[in-house]
Amino acid sequence: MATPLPTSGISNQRGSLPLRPADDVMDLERLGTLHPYRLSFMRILMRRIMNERWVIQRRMFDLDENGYGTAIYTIDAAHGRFSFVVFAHHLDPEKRSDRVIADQWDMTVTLCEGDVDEEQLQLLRQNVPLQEAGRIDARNIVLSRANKSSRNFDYVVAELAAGRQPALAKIAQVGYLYRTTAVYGSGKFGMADWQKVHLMHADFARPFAAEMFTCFMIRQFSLEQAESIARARSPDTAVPMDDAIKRYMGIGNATGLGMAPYLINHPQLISRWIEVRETALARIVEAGEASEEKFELLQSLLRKAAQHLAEIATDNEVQNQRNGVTKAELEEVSRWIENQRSINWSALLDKALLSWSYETQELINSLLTEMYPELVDELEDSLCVSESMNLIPDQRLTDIRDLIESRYGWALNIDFDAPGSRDVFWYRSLEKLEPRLGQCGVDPGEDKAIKIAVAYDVRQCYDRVCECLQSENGVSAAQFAIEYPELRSILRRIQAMSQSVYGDIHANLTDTEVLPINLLRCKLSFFGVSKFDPKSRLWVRNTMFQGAPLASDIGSDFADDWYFPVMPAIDQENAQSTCR
Amino acid sequence: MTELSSLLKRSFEGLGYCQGDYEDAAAAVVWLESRGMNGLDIIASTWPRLKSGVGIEVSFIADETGAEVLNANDSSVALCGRMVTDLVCAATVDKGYARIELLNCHGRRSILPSLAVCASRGLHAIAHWNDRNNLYLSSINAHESTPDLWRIPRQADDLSPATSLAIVCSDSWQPIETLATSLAGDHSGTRMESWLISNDMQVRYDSTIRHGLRIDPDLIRRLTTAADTVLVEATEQSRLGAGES
Repeated sequence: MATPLPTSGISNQRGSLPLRPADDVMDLERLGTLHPYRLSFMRILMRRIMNERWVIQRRMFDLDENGYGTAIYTIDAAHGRFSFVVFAHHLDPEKRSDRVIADQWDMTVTLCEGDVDEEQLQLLRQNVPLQEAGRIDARNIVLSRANKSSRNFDYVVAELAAGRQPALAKIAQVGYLYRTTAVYGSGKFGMADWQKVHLMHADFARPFAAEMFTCFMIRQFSLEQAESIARARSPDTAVPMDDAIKRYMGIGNATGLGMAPYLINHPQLISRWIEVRETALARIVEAGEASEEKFELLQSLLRKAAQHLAEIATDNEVQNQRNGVTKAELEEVSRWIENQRSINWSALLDKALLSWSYETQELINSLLTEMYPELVDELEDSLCVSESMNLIPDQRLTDIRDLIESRYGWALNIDFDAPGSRDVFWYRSLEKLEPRLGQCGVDPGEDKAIKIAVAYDVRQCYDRVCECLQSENGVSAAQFAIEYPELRSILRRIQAMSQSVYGDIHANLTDTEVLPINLLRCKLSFFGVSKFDPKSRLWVRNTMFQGAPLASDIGSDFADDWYFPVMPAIDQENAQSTCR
Repeated sequence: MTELSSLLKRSFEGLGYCQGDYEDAAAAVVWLESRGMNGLDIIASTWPRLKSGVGIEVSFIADETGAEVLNANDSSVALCGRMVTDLVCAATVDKGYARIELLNCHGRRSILPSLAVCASRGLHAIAHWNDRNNLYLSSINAHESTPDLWRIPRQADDLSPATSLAIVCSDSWQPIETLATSLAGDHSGTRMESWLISNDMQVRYDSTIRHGLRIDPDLIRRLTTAADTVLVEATEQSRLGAGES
């Protein structure tokens, strides 16, 4: 008997929509090809900032001629006032590192509730530059830091100081001036817990909204700092950066393994994010009118996405190849649509499934969400979920066995006796608790492995349940948990996840072939980042907010079309003379 | 709270407890601490026992009356309370009413968050225990989020041991109320001396959300020392296991 398709649990007036099956969607290889989409967190945030006309003002900009010093921005959002505080430091180039274990940075920042008085500023000045080694309090929502892009920053400042605009072709290689290396929220280092943010700060009461906003402000400061240094260096010739080039400047990000355990430790939240994405897609397939106008729109989006892919600069051969294949396939998609007399979106997705790569399939899905804001945007209110892993104490072992077979078939299908299937372990390093990968039998720390091997634990639980059932049928989950306390955690996870639409990510994270970068890319796509530039299977550089409006654009018309950013079409010669 | 929860989980993991136990213990302590119920005091006062009591073994004891009796073997209720409450709830779903007595346990105030879980399952619950001078009574109605906690002078004829805890669960409120009245004895019908009622706990919780928690630095040091034992020494080789060299 075929497994029934999952249906969306998100309340809507359209009844229960059939969604894509979990075996397809939750496959880690596919999750590693997700692209940002209309409900990615940066997109939602920018819509709020622009539509609610937040007011962002510089309250302090106390920088010396080298750009070092303190800046404070005041943000009047729809529901409250916040302060963004920046400490810009001198940093020896040899100390500049993307690694979380670094202890000095070019810029350290925090996002606080309300105004910041002199006393609080002193406290922040003593602690924010220390990052993980400092302590802040529940008035702080986010703590972060960023380093200059050694390739771009000096070049841009020199050009502006000389009265020239930076060359777009050069900016396209690295589309940012600074790169964040960690963005902390949710109660770390004494900061406000998520419960506080969710209950008291409606402006940031969505997943990672405050963290994304902090990155947006780092980008804003980076642009203003570069201009400030250029002015100080050469007051007579310096020019401000052209706004179109500024918008093309994003904020870089380096993400490593630290992000990966989050996806495993918050399975209900991740399942919900996926469910929201799939619900958006299902709504479009069901109700999205495939008119001539929509086909034209899709064609133009395909061209834009292809250009975006072509402009990605990465040294990673695999990613380059994937981008090349996807770009070529997007051209096929375009031709295929052109040759159809009449199709619906369901036919396009069926064709994609048969003919094109995961990357292309998921890119098409992302583009479709851009075409139907009226079907998609309201889903942004469904991205939060109350997480709890409670045992269903009276559930009988026979039901638990059936549950594991129906929801965790993917885990039961893994051969844990096969060579390599249990060769990797994840552990936390004494260096800032950084998650790292070790090789079993080779690296020390196997006995301290992080509990991340969900698939293997499910197998253990299933085997024990089957064993118990051979002697007794009427045992409850609670009795089983007393008998086998070491299985209590995985048992309640199995039960809790059975109530989610998509369940756990389908992956064996202890396999020697595991690609953690797929976990990173999945999460980053929900953040809304673009231009994935893998540096190994363990970490990736990427770009945030490239193409997004600037703080100075708030109040202007907003088309909400900054996704898949491409090099702006501006006449640089003309721009030079205008700026002068 | 998130930070404290992470630290507690790592600490209990470092002390050798299994995943289900350290998740429950961290959740119980944070629940109490954030509601002004001094969850960390329970940990601080029983730290030597927690450090030596690796592995909790809750075991059934045959009871001729047919009641469920378990031996906690000197374990903290922070660690085993949830597990035992799950057992009471399962029996209540079957029979409408269930009672379990847990012997040889400490940190019994830690049962409060588990009672809240009972209520979230639509069941009414009460737990009671005593020390040398007082009887403690905590009850919650189905679907409420925070139990009441009462402290009543112990009755002269109360012979129950000062290391046991009784948990009763029902699918209706009436038997819980009857039991509470009976336990209150002479104090029934008069004003019982309340320690904290649910409203007070909610007020403390709201304050914790707004302002965070202040924690004794010495306890933080002890917890951190235990927590650090689950971390792995960094080497040049291990740095390669996380990315850029």
